[in-house]
Amino acid sequence: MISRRTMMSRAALFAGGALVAAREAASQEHPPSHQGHEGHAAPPPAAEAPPAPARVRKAGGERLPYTPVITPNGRSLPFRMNGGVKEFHLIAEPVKQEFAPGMTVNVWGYNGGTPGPTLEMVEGDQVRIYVTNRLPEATSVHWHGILLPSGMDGVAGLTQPRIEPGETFVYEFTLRQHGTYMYHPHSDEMLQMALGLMGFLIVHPKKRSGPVIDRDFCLFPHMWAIPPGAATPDPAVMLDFNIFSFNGRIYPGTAPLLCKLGERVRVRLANLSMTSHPIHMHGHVLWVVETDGGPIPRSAWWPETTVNVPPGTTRAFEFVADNPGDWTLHCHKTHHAMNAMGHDVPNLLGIDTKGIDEKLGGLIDGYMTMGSTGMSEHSAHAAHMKGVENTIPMMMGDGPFGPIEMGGMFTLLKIRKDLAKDGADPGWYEHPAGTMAKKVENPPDFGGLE
Amino acid sequence: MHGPAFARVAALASLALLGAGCASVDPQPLFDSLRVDLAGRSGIEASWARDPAGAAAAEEQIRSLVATELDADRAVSVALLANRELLAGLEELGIGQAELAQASRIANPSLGYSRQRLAGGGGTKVEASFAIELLDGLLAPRRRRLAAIELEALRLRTARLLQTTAADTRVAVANLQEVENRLEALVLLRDLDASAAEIAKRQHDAGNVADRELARHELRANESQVALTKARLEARGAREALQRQLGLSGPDLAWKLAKAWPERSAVEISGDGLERLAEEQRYDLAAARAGLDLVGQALALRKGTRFLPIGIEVGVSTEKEPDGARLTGPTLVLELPIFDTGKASIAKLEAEERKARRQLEGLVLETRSQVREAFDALRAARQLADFHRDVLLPQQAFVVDQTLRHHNMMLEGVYELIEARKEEIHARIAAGEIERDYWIARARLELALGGRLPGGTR
Repeated sequence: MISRRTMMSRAALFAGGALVAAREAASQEHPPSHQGHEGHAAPPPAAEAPPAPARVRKAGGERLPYTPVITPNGRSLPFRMNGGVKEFHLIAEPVKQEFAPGMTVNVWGYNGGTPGPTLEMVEGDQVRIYVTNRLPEATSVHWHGILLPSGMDGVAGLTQPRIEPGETFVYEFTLRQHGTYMYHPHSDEMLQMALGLMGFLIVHPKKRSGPVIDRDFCLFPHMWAIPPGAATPDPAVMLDFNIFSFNGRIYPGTAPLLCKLGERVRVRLANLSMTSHPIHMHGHVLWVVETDGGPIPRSAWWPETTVNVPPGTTRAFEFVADNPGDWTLHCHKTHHAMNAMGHDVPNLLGIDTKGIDEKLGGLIDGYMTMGSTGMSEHSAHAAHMKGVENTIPMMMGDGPFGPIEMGGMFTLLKIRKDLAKDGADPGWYEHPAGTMAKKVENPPDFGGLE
Repeated sequence: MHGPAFARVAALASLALLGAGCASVDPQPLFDSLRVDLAGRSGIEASWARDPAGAAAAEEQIRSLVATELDADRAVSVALLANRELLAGLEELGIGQAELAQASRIANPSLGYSRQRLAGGGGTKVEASFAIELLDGLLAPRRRRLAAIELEALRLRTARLLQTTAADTRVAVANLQEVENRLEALVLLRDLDASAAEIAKRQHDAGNVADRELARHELRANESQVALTKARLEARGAREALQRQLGLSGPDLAWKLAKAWPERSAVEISGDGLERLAEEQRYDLAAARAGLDLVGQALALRKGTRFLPIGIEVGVSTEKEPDGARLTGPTLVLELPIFDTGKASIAKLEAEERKARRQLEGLVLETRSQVREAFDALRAARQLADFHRDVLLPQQAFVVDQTLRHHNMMLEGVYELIEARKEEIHARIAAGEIERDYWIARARLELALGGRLPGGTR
């Protein structure tokens, strides 16, 4: 049983560490950059200064009474205390965001990114959130799942006038719940969410109950319809999305989640896209502990390997990181773990390709048959073939043993005995002897058992 | 009858002969002047094989021209040597030259002799006479002048015929080049559709597509083949059309055409003064002017002689009577314009002169209009050809390259890639048609101008 004091000081340590980690994660992400639209081969330039979204800095060195969450490739929004009220400043604005090296997208985000910065508060806090609109059209912000006065609900036209471009509105309410929530527009909602306006709103409990969370992650899956070669999501698309992201990044642009062996880890998921996302993680049992309705009673926690997140909901799961190694964390709708691909390409699987490349290659310079043995062969060629501007291959990722052949809603969760203090990537897992699948030179004879 | 009477007759005859003038029947100098004119005006080399040596030289020239691929210039050279209509037209020069010579001759004198015997013996009567048509001789110089004008008009029309033959040859070459280039493109299109059908067949073999999908692809491939076959027929027709211009036969029929279009000249021809230039230098206009002049002079001649006797025959005759008496003296026969004072023939000539004037005016208007139209067509074709070369074709190539990139990333499939490439090839076909139109417009403008284009280089 850990004393409250130890817990608080540990929390502060973690807070400091987690804050550092959060900042590191943020700097891993290449902020709205002015990357050129050359093909996917060029590595991203060193992090440039982002074009100036206004930032409200946290004044004073408050000790945080909670383990701050880590928003991979993102950050938490700093706040200031003003007469006992926690004040935040959100700025809704167009952003050019790099989804992965080689792909930059014209999104609408908050404070320089999509999703917007995570708002963290504590049950009981009185919060004041200023919202400045720098979008080309009016907006509003709705606090999804938060119990508050009707007039603070953020539904444009119904509970408030719209926030016109250039205007700043202020929302104020007192938190009387804790859990995993979201914030998003409620004005031209379909379009503004399709363009990327959304963010986590985490309300920490005033009094912790249950096991200590050592590491707390926020992942926001989202879907986009971006014509290959273009850079702007098409908000009119209802079903045919082609780009799938975690926290506004697509694999291999997603930052890995790093955990120490033995830690209790919580992962919070939110979904404002047009379909559900069954998020799967390997190597562990995931216990579903919370929704955007609030914490699930412990006796009602249920185990999953894949946590389904319907649109308009959040889910949080917890596990103990007791299995060291490199694990994948991804949406199990397989197309969501791919980058852009054609869904109407003719199926050449299994055809006899003899002579085709010669004949057609003589008529079309550079032609090469694709997909006759599957799509893996394509990904091997994709690296050195001419590609489409601002588009990265559908399958990417180089692992220690070869191509990983993934994209989209895919990231890694690395569990190590020790992690560097500065949050640096520990590299690939070194598998202990005897714990790796290996090739058998002479397969044994099963005597007809097959 | 002998003696001094005949001597006088003989003297008169030889005088007549001398007065006949010596216009030659050889058209060579006439052709030489035409050749020099044409070389300077149009840059084309006319030649006329008039004897076996000349024919052999022409044959050798043709053979060496045909030995390598023909382009427009070489085809024109061949046509000038072998086009039968043109060669027949050249022979007209000989006809015209002979007619000039004929016009220079005066009418032959007439010689008469009769011998009569008195019945019952007692002697013979002998008559001899010699006469020449005097008016014919007096008018010969003027008649000769008219014939000379007529010959000049013929020379000009022959020069025009050479230019027309050259222009028609250029048009036939351009048509053939376009269809030959189109054939190459249609072969590519057929091959692309055949490749698509082959891939569809392999998909079908692997169980990936249904019968109808395969049938659709094979149908497209077959239709491409039909288009190719039809174009091959068209090409053979275009070849024959050029062959008819060239006038070749035997082994020479196997001539080959250069497929590549010539470089368009960098210099753009200015439209200023083209109409005036055409009016000044076109051979058929000059011929029409000569024709008008001819009618005018004929009319003046007719008017000047309308009240003169139509015929004036002078001569000498001698008679020896049966009793030995000799009578000798001059003769004079006059044909008097009493019943026919030439009014009708003058009226006819006057009408013909007015008609010739109107025709000349019409030809001038038509010349100017032809020049305007041909220049406009040339300028438009040039702009379109440049646009295809500089904008359309590069854009098409860009689309194909981009589609290949989409294909490389499995964003689009092979059939879309094939369609993009086919579209590019169709654009090339369109560009070839514009190129043909350009060279045809150029030939037409040269013909409308009556000479090579000013300032521009071939």
